[in-house]
Amino acid sequence: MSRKHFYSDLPDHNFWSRAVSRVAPGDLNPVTDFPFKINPEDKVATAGSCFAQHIARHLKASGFTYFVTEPAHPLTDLVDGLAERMNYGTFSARFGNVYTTRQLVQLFDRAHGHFHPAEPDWQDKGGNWCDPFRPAIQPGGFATRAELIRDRDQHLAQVRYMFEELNIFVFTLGLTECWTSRADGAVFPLCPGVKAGHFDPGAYAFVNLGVDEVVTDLNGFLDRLARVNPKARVIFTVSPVPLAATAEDRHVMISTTVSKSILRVACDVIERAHDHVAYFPSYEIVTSAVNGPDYFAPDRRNVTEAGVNHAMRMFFAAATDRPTPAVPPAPATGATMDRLQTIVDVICDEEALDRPNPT
Amino acid sequence: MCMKKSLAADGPPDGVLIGIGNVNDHKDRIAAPGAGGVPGIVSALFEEVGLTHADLWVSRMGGSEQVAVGWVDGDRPFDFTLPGRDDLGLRGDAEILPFQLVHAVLARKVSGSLSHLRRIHADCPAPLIHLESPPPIADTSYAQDHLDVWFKQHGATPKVAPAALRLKLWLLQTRLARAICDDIGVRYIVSPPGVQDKRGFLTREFWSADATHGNIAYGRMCNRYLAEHAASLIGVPA
Repeated sequence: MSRKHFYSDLPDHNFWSRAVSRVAPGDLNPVTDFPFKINPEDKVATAGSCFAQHIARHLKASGFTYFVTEPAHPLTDLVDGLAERMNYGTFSARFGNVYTTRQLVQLFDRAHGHFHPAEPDWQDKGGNWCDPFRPAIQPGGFATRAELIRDRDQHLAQVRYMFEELNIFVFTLGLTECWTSRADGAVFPLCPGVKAGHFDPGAYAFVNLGVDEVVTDLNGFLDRLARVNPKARVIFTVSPVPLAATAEDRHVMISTTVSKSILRVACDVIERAHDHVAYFPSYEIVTSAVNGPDYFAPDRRNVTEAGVNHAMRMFFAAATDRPTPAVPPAPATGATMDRLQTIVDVICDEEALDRPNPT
Repeated sequence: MCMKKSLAADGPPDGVLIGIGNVNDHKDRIAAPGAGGVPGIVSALFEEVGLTHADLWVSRMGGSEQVAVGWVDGDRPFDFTLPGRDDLGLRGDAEILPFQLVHAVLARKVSGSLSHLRRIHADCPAPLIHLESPPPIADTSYAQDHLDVWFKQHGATPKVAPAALRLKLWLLQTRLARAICDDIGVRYIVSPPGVQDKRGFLTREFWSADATHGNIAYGRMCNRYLAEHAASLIGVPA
């Protein structure tokens, strides 16, 4: 006579042997329940770290409504690749990488006129102007301060419109480490002095957000979003891309584990607390021991096309009623590179942390 | 166009023969390497102006790129800041594009228009100079009423962009053309003195029935001005 216990009637996905060990690596699917579906007509906006660009790329190519409120001007059609080089369409608006939850909250507040950073612009040695909150958005910088101000006003208006009109917001959490202004707590996506600005320890402070801070940020963001768009639903993901560099005095791998763990725990707290919030496990799919070696490029940081495709197959299977759409493969980066190791081209400002200082 | 009319009316300036023409009008004569090449263009241009010899060649290639890019408002009217010309302001009713974006678009078009200049400069049998295109006119209503027929063919009711934007586009185009000429080694000749007002627009007496060109008087000014330059280029008294 067999004994019944708590685990006896649990579904297969509760058991590692049935849900992982005996599953073909490419079929691994940690999504067991997704709280809502994305319809083709839903306006889906994306933001976040560099991995969020993959979601944007697949949405664009899949027949869903990828909601871009700051599209490239038709003039850019006259030069191949110009719109992409100038970061139009990379995300739903031209905000560049939003690596931290604090940055997301401040983006919302800046767009709605509730936060006016004390440090609104930087100027480089060549006289060009830079937006400290999207330092890489304009290659070559803005030609004049007036241009930067007008461009930012236009941009923030489109961010506002995006939050008010979107149906689904997909945000990929990337980092907990960030640099802030000592004057007002404004968070920069990149340490001042790396791509623009000048590093001044008296003006900037390093902050490594903890679980409570990330949860507070996410709750604060959800409250704000609900006020302007009560029907909006939100999908959080955690980027599987490791930190390019850590400001903590420890190995970057340790910092990566800590940061990703904090973000993952915060997502769990938030997901359990809000019915209109879903968590999608792109982090788990890409970093698991099952596929990890194949899903990272030789630098063990960038995600291969195979890894992205696996995550996105599961995303569409969980979050939509459509079969997995066929997405054109990303361009190969080298003729001799194995297909599985093809790195998808994404804009990752953070990689600049690991480059030699310009002379 | 105005210069050809001026030449036809007045004959070439004393002491120098000037070959004038738009090479891009003779693209079919720009043969592939090994099939004639530049001499084909040269003879085409000689035929065009009725000359058999020229002591100085004047390039008037290009010039309309700024017109194509922004003279007429599209579905998304735009403006941009031109470094050094803050006085020209920005439209309040238009999308502001980054200077780098407009620069990239115009640079592509200008380099396309001047793509043959390097070959011609290398093979031209006489000194070659490039003359700046006519500045825009300031009167938007006049421009609206005297649009080139091309616009009427390509838009039902084209709306001419504000004068300040047209001037900025022209100024940027001239910077780009000058940079290409400097790179090739072709002397770039700015607009003759006296044809522009203080802000840089073409003065009223040189307006043409076609808003994007100068009139015969403007052509005469150019030809006289070129003759002065010819003196220093080929040693002929102006």
